[in-house]
Amino acid sequence: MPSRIGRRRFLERSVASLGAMAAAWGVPAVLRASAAWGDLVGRFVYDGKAPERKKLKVDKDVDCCGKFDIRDESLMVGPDGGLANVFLYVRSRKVSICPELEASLPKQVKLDNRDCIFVPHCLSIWYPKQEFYTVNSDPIAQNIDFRPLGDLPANIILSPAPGKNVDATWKFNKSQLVPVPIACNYHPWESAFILPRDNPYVAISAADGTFRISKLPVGKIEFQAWHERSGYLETPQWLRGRFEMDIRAGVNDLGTIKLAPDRFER
Amino acid sequence: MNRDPSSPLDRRFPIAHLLAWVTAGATFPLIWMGGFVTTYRAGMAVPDWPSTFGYNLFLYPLESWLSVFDVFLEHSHRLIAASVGFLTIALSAALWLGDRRRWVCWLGVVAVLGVSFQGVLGGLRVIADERVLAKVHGCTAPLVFACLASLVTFTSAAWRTRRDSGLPSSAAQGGNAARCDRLISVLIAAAIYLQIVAGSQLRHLTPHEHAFWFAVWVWIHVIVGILLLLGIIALGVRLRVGRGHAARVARRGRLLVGLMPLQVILGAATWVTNYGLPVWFTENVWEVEYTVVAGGAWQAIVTTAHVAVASLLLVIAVSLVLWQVRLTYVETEACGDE
Amino acid sequence: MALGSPFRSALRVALAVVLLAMGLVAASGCGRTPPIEFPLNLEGREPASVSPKQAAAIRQALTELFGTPNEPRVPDGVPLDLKRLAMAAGAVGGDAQGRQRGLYRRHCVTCHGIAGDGAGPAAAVLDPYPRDYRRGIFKYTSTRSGAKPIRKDLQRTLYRGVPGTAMPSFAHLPSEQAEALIDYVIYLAIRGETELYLLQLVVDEQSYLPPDMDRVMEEGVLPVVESWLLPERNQQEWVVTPPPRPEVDRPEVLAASIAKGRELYLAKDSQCVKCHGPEGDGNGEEKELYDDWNKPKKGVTPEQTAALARLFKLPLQRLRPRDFRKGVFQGGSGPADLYLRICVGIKGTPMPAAGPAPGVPGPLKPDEIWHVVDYVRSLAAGAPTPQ
Repeated sequence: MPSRIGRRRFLERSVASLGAMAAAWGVPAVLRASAAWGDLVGRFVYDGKAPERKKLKVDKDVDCCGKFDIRDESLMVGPDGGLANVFLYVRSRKVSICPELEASLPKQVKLDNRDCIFVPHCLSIWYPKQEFYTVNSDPIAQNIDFRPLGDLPANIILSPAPGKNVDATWKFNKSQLVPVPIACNYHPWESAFILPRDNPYVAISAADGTFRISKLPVGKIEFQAWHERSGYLETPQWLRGRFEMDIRAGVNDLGTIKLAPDRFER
Repeated sequence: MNRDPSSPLDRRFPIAHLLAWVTAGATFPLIWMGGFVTTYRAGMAVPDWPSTFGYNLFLYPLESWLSVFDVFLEHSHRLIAASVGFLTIALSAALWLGDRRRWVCWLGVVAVLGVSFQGVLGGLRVIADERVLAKVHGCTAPLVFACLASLVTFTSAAWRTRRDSGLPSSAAQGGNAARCDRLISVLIAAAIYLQIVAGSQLRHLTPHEHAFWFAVWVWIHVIVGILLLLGIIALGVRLRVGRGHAARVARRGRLLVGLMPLQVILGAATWVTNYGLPVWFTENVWEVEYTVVAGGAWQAIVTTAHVAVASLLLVIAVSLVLWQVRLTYVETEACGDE
Repeated sequence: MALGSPFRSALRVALAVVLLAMGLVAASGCGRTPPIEFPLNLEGREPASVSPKQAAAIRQALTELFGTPNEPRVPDGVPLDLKRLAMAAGAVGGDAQGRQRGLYRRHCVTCHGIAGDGAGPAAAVLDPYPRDYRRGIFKYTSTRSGAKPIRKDLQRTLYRGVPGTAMPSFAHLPSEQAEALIDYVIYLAIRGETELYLLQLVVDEQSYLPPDMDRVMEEGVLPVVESWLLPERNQQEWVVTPPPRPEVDRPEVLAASIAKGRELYLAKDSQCVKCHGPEGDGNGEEKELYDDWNKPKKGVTPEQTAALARLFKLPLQRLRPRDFRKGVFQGGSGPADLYLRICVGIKGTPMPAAGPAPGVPGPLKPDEIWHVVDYVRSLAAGAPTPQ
């Protein structure tokens, strides 16, 4: 017959075992939470002498735009050879998305019309969760024109700043396989690229060529590299700019990827 | 035989000439009708041949014939064609019976074969549903028309007796000038036929054709058209009665000169009613707003008139050539060459 | 009988002409017409970049989804009437009661081509080129920036025609036949966009063959259909009905409106003068303007443009900004038409939308647009430019 001491011990043991069970579930969950995601990092390098960026013909709104040194942005190589504006994104169709990412990413992806060019030159947008926001910071009217395949085309006018109607928002409804060019009908030298995807795993290499895709799910994932000059960024190892990587928890370093200049010839 | 006016037998049978006129006269509306069929794209309105929706050609119910526009066009075309066929057979029979000139009788047979060939071609176009056959049908029709019209010329009393109304044959008939005139006339007739072929290419289009060839044919049609206009005016100037040409020849020259500018205007109107005013016109000449009307009355009438007048021009040119050649060799002919 | 020599030479000449004519005919394609098929959309692509297997796979997928020019099909979820499509498709012909078949081939194919590629036999001599439906972009619409046209827009174009171009008015066509043609045009547009998706999937992405049809439906067909249905379903948000025009009966009111319109026209907000010029004569700063169908043919340098030419069926064609003084407006010259052109722009061209769209405020308000309309109409009527 259970004595008072026996009951207490029973309770203690139950609590202990429950705690152990909870721990048994919880710890791996915690471990999973931190172990299930990995980062992909690396650096793109232009393996050659960086060509001089051509000066673009500024023949419209010259009184406003003529004072800027507007140069071709299609091949931006840093002082130590780092290649900027390379898109690197997940090509696999079904990929789990880290829940923390939604909270950490901004609600809007901003394209600014500043100093008569688009800033930034390359953007990506996780269209189910983020909104595309464009604003005009120049004292002249600007135009945003893009035609995503299979999605609504846009041809938006933004009034001169400061004033009314200087900004606009847009919704993308479809994931694109390659970045979509953005043009301005008023100022033909302006250009930008935007990649709408249904997951946040897109990186655009920075000015020094480095990139990081954070919180990728572990496992085999196929990636795609793209650059506006070459299209699919093909290398001897990457057929059509694609490669598969077994992502582990923590940091996965691709290292330095040297790219031959002939890929970027016009 | 040569200078003899028509024999007693021939005199009793001017019927060949009358029949020739009626047959050629019936062929002109036939060409109009065929033109309308193409203009309204009613070529396949009746899917079978020689019957019409299963009925015998001549027994198709009147109400059904008149109630559907496309069927009305196509069936009328067939009926007139059948009539022309019968008339041609009658003409050939009249020639064999009444005309001593064997070559004219054989030409009559050629006419019968030609008309039959046209009929079969039209029928095959429908049975095979083949636009290319429609193209050929449109190109051989003027040739058959020319053949029938030449029979009109050959059966005429003037031709048979070589009677010329007006001046006797003069020095103007022979020599280099006459040869030059004849050459120009022949070239004009040939150019008119080339224009008809080019026009046929522009009317009967299959979806496969490359836009390049259409553009080529348009340029050929326009350039040859302008050259023709200039050539006909030059010829008209040369063929005046005052310069010693027979009235007959000068008359045909005048007819050509009168009709050709009309044809050019019809051609321009055909383009505008089908494809609108060209940009260079609205930019530089007159900025009028014009909308093409598909199936509009202007479009149909102007386009089909352009086709019909082309055949008429061909026939007049052929007649002109025949008479020019005939009158030149009046003097040089000995007996036998008829 | 002996034919005299003049007859012989005349006959020789005549024979030569006939043979020449037949030779020319043969050169341009005499012979049995090959069976009619939809050609593959290789505009802008190196023909060698698409392997025969890829081309066959794409054709197979499109035939499975959309049928052939003689026997159209619609995949599930596409709201088109198959009976109407059957009336528009196929070879030209009719029955004893006058019921038509092959309407598209009868009325449209000469300019628009069998696949709706705007490169039919007569296309090369036309300026502007006939519409290429395959990108799903239509110029004269009443839907806000980005949206597909509603059915009424296509009806308007078909019944009215496009003044100043070769597009005829089909007002004489019985309405049943006109509706069949509209359905067929939408069918070709949906098919065209699906084809572009398949080309991207099979050729650019080098997906495995045969392509996964579920994926093609989900990523290719259904988003296109959704985009067509969007403005029909949300007319409030996406379709513009011009508001009632302010009273401009009295001359002084009209003059004030025209003056205000000119002010707005010249303002920096809307940038009309960039293309249309300060006098409204189309002589703006922008000289090299191209529509969407011609932009891909333009390279960065003239050498590039020349090299690109062989990848396209029709040569590069420039776009001319409208000269308002001529008064020839392709989308219609009535006040409501001009309102729509300014408010929603002309899709497929650099003419942007000056009115609002969802998320985009736009520089001009409705009454401001009416002022600009009055100004433009005054130019078309020949009024001298106010100083």
